[in-house]
Amino acid sequence: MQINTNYTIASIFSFLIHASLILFLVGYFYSEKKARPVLNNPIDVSLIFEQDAKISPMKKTIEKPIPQESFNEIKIVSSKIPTPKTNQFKEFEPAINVIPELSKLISEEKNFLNNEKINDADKFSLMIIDTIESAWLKPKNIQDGLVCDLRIQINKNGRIINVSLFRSSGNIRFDNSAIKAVKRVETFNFFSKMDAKMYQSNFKNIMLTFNPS
Amino acid sequence: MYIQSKNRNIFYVSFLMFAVSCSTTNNTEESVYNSTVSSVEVSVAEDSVVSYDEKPITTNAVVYFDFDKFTLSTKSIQTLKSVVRAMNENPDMLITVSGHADERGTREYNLALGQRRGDAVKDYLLLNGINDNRVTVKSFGEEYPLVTGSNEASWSKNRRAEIN
Amino acid sequence: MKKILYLFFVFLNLNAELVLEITESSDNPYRIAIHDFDGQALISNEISSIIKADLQRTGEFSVLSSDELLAEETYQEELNYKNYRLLGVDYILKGIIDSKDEMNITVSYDIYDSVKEKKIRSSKIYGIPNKTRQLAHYVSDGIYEEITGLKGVSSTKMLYVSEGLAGSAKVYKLMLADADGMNEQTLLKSNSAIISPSWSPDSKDIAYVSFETGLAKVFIQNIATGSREVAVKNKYQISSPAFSPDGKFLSLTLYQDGNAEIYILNLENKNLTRLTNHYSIDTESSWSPDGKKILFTSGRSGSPQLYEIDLLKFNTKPKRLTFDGNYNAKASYLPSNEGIVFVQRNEGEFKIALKYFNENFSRPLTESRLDESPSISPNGNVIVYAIKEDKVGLLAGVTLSGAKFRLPSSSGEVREPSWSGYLR
Repeated sequence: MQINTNYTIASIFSFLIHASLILFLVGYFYSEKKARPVLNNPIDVSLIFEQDAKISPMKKTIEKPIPQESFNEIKIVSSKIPTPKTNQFKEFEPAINVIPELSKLISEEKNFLNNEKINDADKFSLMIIDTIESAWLKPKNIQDGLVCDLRIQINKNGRIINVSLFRSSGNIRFDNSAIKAVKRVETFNFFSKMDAKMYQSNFKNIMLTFNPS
Repeated sequence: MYIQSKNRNIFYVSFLMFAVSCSTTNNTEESVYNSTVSSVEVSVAEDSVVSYDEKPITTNAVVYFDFDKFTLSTKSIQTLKSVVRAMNENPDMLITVSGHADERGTREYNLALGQRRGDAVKDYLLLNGINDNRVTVKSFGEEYPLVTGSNEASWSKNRRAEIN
Repeated sequence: MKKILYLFFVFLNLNAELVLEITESSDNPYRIAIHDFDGQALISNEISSIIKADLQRTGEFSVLSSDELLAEETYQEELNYKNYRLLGVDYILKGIIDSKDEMNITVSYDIYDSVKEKKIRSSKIYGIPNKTRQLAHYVSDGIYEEITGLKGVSSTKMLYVSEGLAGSAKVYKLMLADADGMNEQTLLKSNSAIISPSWSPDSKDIAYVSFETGLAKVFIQNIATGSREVAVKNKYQISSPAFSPDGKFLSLTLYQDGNAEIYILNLENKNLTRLTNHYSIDTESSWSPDGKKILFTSGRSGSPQLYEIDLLKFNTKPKRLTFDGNYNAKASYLPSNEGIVFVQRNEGEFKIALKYFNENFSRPLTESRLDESPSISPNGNVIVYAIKEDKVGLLAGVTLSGAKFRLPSSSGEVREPSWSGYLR
């Protein structure tokens, strides 16, 4: 009896230690965040996956810049990408040859899309960026070099349920124009084509950077 | 498993976001500001007013200037020579030089410009032996144009210094 | 009886000298649905129409009123946000006017966000007798503030100079009016020219230049009592007054040695401190929002250009701010201290221009030929200025977002606008 109790306690400890070891090995405690540079062209609007930003939103620290490594970023020269008329990503293809820079950009992206399954996320990110960009009107008479970050909550049907300013540009009219653009978009129709897992892992909360320079 | 760990992070962030987005409606109450206003009327003593409607200018000398300039032209110098002569003939004569500008440009800058035009006239008179205390300079900027109109013909008549 | 009195009051107001015309709105306005306020129809209509005009004048709003909305929405208790979104409405305003005793009107209003699907503001304003317009302006400012994050300026006031004829004599008046040109009152009536009106930071006193003594002199006048005094008593010409942001100093242009130089007058002990000393013209001083710098026009480069003096640094050379064009004058700082607004001559035409400190070029904001005297609203978003149209002076406004409006006078000529600080 005595032996049995000791044996049970030992088993429990053993189990806990082994379980944590196994969990560690499979990556449950994985915390390293690596930047995934997608394209090296200049940013116009970039989409950042919120879940990888290890910043408490309660502290809106502008002083402490967000470390670049902690984001999944997708960069595009969005002002040069033609607005797709439908939500099918294939619609990008006819416009490829317009600008050399652009075609290079898109072919890089196509490789991405063809390569792996994970690039579905990039596909949707691009569509989000594109939709918001076509809704965005940069205010008149505003100085150059302004950048702001918005935090957006989207429900699984693609409806934007909350927009908040995460990092102000310092110019209220610029910030307002960005918020206005996101609110005007209201719903991303293509969310219906997204599987639930993808939505949960990537698109429930996103961060958008507005950088028109 | 990687994805699972990501989910944990999402949960963390979205939980905090929920707290942020739950911010309540902005409630305010205020009362309208009350103000009183008093009106003042100033009537000006007759002798201190330079009247531009009644006094014929032709009896007095007027010199004209270029836009944003206060240099005397040769024609102006001819006019001023006769002023010097008249002042030498009448040693008791005191004169006032009033500088003016056309409507272009800002009012305060034009006030200063009018002063410079008056000063240019005064400087010439002093150089020609007129005593400093016989000449007073003031400026009216663009406030009292001689001719109304927004064209060069009117403007050139308004960029002037009047000697009374 | 009270109703008749009230109608008469409204009529009087509509008879104001300045008439507001909105000529252009910006291309990306917020769309707000304004439902008729519950309560007495007459007051409700008046308040709604004032709010509508106020918001449209900002250039940042387009207003849908009750008649443009579906009837069922108007009478629904619960808002059907989806219907509003289909109409492109971003925000919804609903309000109640409580006027059971007509001398005390209270307005309560709620603002709803059609995307967030919730109430974002709930406010109550207590009016005072015969100030319905002010009450409506307070509502407009609350809406503007909630949606744009900037304080509204509908409840602020404006000074301007009017010139008219009484018989054959010219009459100059220094006027005070609401920011929409209504409710005007005469502060000073004179038969000599008045220029350069400016406000003290608490908006209780004003300073201006009057030629009533035959020589330009700066006067300080209390708005409420009408008591006035000459700022500096001497025999020289003085002009261009500007109060410091703390209200303790007044910068002036003195012509003490014949030439225009900038001085600072301590309003408590009347001490004068000389700021500029140059043989060319130095005038049109204005204070930076933090009160540490003074901006002025100087002819020291051969043409009027803008310079800045740092008051904290002893004896520093003024820093030249403008290099493009050969006429840059009458500048003032944006309240955010991001840049300056001034008069610029470009190809023989005078326009109002904006220059940000981090940019090396200026942006023209207006397009007529003889624009002058820009004055910036306290929120920095609107600039009111004077223009000439068919030889007649009138006031016009432009917002940074690109909306334009005009405030022509129904009689005579108006000019020299000066915007007050916040009054609420």
